[in-house]
Amino acid sequence: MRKTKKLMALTCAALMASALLAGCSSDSGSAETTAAAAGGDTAAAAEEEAAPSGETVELELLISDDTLEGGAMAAMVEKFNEEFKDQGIQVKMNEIAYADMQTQIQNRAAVNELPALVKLSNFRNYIDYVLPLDGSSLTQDDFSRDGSYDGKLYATMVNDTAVGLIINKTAFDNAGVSYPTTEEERWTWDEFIAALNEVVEKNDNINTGLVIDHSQQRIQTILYQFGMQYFDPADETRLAFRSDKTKQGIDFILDMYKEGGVSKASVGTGTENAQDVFKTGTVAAHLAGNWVMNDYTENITDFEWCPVLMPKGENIATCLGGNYLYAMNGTGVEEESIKFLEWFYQPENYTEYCSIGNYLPGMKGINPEYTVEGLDIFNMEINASIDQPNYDSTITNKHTGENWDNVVRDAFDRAIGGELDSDGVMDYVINEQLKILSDVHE
Amino acid sequence: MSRTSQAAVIRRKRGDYRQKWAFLFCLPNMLFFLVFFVAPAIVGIWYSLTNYNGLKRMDFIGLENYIELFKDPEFYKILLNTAKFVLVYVPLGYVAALGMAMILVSDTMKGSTILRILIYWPTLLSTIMVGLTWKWIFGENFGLINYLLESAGLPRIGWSSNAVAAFLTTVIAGVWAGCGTNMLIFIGALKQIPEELKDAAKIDGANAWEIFKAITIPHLRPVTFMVVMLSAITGFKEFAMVQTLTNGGPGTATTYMIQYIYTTGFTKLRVGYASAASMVLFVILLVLSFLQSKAMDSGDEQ
Amino acid sequence: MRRFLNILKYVLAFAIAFIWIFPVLWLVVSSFKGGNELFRYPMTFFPDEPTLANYQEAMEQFNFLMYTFNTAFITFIATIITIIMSSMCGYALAKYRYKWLNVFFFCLLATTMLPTEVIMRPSFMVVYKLGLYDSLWGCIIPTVGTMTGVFLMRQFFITVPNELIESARIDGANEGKIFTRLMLPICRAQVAILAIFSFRWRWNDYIWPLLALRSPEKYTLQLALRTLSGAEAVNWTVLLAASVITMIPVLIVFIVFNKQIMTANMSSGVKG
Repeated sequence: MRKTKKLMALTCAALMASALLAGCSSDSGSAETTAAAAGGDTAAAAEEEAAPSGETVELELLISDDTLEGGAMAAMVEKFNEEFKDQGIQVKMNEIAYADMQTQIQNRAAVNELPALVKLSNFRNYIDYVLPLDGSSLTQDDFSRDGSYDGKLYATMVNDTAVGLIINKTAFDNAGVSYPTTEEERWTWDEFIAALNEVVEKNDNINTGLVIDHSQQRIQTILYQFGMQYFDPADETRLAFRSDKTKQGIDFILDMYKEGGVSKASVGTGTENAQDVFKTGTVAAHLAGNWVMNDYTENITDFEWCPVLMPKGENIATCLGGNYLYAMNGTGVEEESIKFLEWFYQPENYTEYCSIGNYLPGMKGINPEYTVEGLDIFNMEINASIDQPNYDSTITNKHTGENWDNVVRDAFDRAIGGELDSDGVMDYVINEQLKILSDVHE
Repeated sequence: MSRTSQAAVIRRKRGDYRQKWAFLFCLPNMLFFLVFFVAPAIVGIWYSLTNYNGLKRMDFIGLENYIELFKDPEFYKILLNTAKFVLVYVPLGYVAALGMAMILVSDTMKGSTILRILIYWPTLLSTIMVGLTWKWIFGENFGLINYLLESAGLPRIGWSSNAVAAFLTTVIAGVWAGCGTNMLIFIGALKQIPEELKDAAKIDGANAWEIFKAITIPHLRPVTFMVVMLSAITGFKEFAMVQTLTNGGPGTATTYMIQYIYTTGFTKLRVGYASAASMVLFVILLVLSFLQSKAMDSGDEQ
Repeated sequence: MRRFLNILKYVLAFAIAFIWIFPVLWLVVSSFKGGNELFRYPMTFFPDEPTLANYQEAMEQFNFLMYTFNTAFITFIATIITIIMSSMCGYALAKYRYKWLNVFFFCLLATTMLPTEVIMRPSFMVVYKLGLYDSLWGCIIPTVGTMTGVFLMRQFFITVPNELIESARIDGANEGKIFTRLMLPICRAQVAILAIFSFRWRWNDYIWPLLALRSPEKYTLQLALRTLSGAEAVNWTVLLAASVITMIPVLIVFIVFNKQIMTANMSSGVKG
């Protein structure tokens, strides 16, 4: 009985306390948040900026995946904080899940509490809030991929990711099938399929020829090799996805997922993760992004693997993706944020960053030393690739506000599930593009 | 004043006084209802009438989102998928939970605590972990069941390429993840059935089935109402687990409402459209629960 | 014969439980596998080289103490408030007959029908406007008015005989006293069930912490756990180990409150 009363009293107190809190500010002020109070927040930092020098400005860097990828940014932040201790700038990393980045940025944008710096694969969605870097020493020419909008540099390419091919070396060697490591030796797609079939046939433990990540970037790469274009090279506003070449590419991919094809529908629709399936050692090849190299180096011991050059179609092509690092506007610490970016992209610092994380540099003229072997194959792919992917992504950057990043992947999900044919895929993609992008036509 | 009307006044006063207490008891929840449900819902309705992208753009576009939604053939397909899922998931979940509760309710059974923990344990996994766990079991290339089948010389099952098999995996994983919760509710309710009633029935020569039908089921009525309604709502809202488990595939065979809302709306930054789809789902659920509680009420009156 | 049936019942119960729990066992056992073994094919149940490295890495990577403290604070406070509010409201909905109560019940029911996932932005704005942003209270306050809790208590109180309340009223007890002195003690089992539920909800919740928090010092276990699934890669080994660690407190709570459920007996309260 008494317990219940006590509980009631406690709750009332708690409710009242919370009501009080609601009346005051967001700083809860309760004992458990002393650590948080010491940490401070951007709003406070913004006020400090106006204060006389000598006080420390804290830059919040919102980031995902850094720990997963080896903590390269954390190492750089530590270095920066050491060097800038006396100059009153300190960077504080706020690492959250990749899946939560969009929610967090949108919410914080809505209430004007944005972080100073962000590392994310996308900047154009948030272009209204991104700080243009025309006041800094960085220019678009420094970077391999377009991070500009309206003629100004907004976002810096912090690391490239390229699509490439990784094979189960043990299985290929076992079957006596050779694989290309120089430009001259590249397979055609038909030769590649034949090679895969031979490897599967001659190895008892290999039951799947090829797995492809459930990703638009990967599918796109194959389509580009078959001659697909998203936008007409002569007319930026014309959608050029519907073409015989695209159709040929789509049919070719879909054939891989049919019964008896070289791949498996369960992987194609994303139900099973290609990376995990490759690790089982039952797969001959994996069309992947270069970041799997870290994982494979660490977690595959049962067989040998190595990256090789991709097959070619009408074109040689790879799709670049990767992450941008950019500063936010209206945080009150813009100057300091630019200082951090300028420091970060000094060749010495940036080379160190790429070396720790085994990243393909997004800045030109950087030669990191990798702890993982074989990454140069991906650089070869980048250098050999046609320019259409870059052209398409530059145009896409101009259409801000909505996101069609996964439209092709979604269409293939349906096609592999038997709900669409190649014409259906083209219809689906074009429809979505027309719905989402403004000022375009077919 | 006549005597009768005086009595009426007293009764009314007493009624007012009780009503005040009733109101007081409900007051905190009412406040929360207004602040954390009505307010966001109104904002949501407003969003559904705009082309809001979650950032700066927000223009009023009337019913355009709703029109687009109702014109989308995929929307109807997904709605049907969801309905099918709920129709299988709810009864199966109900039977499983009640069955477990009946076995585990008796104190005299040694080890029942351990068993209860085991059955309840899966509910502790986050939805994403549930999806991942079952992936290990139902994986097509890398799954335990297919591995065992293959070892036994049997053909593999296309858990993720066959629409029916994929559907089953979502149902099994869903029931599995939710069963512990409902089992606990049933155990609590079963404990409340007076033993004397059952003893009396036994003396009258009733067998176990008759006791179950005549005593247990009627006593579980209020709880059944709750479990069925909450499971149905949970079923309609199934999302993260299925997304991890089957990614809505093959094709769109196991794509349910929330995933549809998410992928056609939020990931494409079409918050307005996603809000419109949410409102439609809301209305559907509201109508269904209204019908269910009506059915329940008429059952009570009999 | 009877004995045989009893044994059969046991065997059956344990067999079901084993199949039931097998996926979780798989998960737990896998958390002791190295990264090179996790996806090995043919599959093996037990690790070839059991290792604690995953747990060690998880401990190093996460400030478990801080996250656990934040999560425990949220869970504990939210559970207490939830229990009080739900039993009060559930009692009123079950034992008073007014039209507006029916309407209110239906309104409450409606709250479960808009999934939090789809009204995240509006909910975030509410939390922000209330000044609860970036405070642990922001993960507590919005969640305590739970419909499921009210529903659970209401459905229980419906089964309590009205005569019990009427006789107390005749004895002159006021409504508040009837609730605290008479009703609360007999719903111990339900409170225990609700406590288990609420503990689990809040412990595993990530949506409200995601919406309400933005300082790393206030993050909860579930938010931290989520960072292990990246854009392209998943750190399986650490994820498995960390998931197992975070499950333990909830299991303990279950065991503690399970006793309450099993020893509670309403009939004694009713007749007492």
